[in-house]
Amino acid sequence: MSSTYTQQNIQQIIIEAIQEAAPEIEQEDINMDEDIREECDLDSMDFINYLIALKKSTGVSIAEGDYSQVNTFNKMLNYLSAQLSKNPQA
Amino acid sequence: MTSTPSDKVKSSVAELEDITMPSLGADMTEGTLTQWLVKEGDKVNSGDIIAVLETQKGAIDMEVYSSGTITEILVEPVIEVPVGTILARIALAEPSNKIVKSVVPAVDKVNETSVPVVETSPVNKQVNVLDVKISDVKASPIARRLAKEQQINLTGIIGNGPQGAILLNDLTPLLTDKKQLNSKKLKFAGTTEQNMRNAIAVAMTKSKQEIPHFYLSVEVDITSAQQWLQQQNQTSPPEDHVILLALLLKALANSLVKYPKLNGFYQKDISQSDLPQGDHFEQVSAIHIGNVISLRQGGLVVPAIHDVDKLSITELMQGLRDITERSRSGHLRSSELMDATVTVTNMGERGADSVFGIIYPPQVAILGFGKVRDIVKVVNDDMVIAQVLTLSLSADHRVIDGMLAAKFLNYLAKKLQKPECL
Repeated sequence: MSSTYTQQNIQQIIIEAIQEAAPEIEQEDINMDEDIREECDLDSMDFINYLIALKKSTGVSIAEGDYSQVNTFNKMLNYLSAQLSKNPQA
Repeated sequence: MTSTPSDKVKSSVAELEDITMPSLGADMTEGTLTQWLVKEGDKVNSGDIIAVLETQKGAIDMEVYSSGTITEILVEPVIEVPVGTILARIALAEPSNKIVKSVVPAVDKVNETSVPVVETSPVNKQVNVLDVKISDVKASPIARRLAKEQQINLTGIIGNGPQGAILLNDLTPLLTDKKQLNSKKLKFAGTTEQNMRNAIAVAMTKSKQEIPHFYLSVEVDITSAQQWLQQQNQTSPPEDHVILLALLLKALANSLVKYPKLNGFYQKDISQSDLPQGDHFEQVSAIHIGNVISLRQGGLVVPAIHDVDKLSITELMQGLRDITERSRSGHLRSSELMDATVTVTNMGERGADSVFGIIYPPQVAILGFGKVRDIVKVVNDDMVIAQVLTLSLSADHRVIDGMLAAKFLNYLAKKLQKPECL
């Protein structure tokens, strides 16, 4: 089965996951290359809830060892793209 | 646990109990009933969610604290009523044993204990909000409370409520204290955010004026705790992720088991005169830790995680995630906002080195956690880099002495050296 995710899909998924923790955030509020926690004012609990929301929607599980690869919006986008094309969710 | 259930009139028929607008913390004065989830005749169990409220703390799921049958719904949504207003009545399945009541902040007990059950039997549904008849004067609970606080004699005042019942607005012109008047007026006029701001202002001012706070802090080395967390989280999926706060809360709960004097309520004896002899500290064996959660739109809520001493770190993390999520989505339960036995404020994430909180009455202690910092430490004549944070404690000197507080903080710091044992 080939990946059904486009960059745009993934971008939307990330926004929705952020909004689970920070409902008032819109995409235009976020500088894509800045630290996502600072951009969206996420504390560590919010950040975990954000990752859990992403796992629910994509199946991709992100451990702390990989945090440095997902700490901005664009990095998360690339990380998820790579993971999903490697191992697309059924 | 020392619970002193109020003396009630016992009878062979099912005992009736009032279900009132709960006080979800010392800073709440009124709430809006938006929906009933039960109807008359429904059987309910203690802990069931029976109504949805809109409060200064957002939408709240209101629980019932007794088991029995709902005999009467006295107030129809949507309506804003003062804390203490009777919303419904329940025929108890068993004679009252008010476990929850005994840990509810005694903010609003002026009327409760002195009303014989027989007198509250429903006669006139239309004036239900106001028919708490103690003397011959009809007045709403909040008006009564204000009158007591301000020593206003209600006899002879004819109010604007049904059958001349006295309402809060009837009393405000009589208040001599202008400031108090202004804050009360404002409170009823503002937006929700302004309401919350004012509610916090009133509660915190009262706390600072009434409670003789004292403060102390220790710097605790959390290098090993941080290493332990890193190992735990390195490869674990996000739902198993543990944050430092969970370790801090667990260590706190364990320390409170050893030092129970910091866990409980300072109860004012408001049925007596103004003399302080009746005031007393009520130690509580259950450890429910209130967590200050800042709401993104401003203001804060302080939901409690229950029985933290009995939870594993994993369960505690689930609890933390859960209350954080529900604080945002508006499904905190009323009991969670009422029964914290101690409170924690965690400023570390926002970058402050330390925080000395204001005690949330009737509790007697609030812990503050500051941010994690790197320092150079001398160990066996060598310089090493360590990670530390400042643990602070604000305590009520009516109950706790400095020596005890210091021992407690040091015990807590020691507990954090062995995170694997928490």
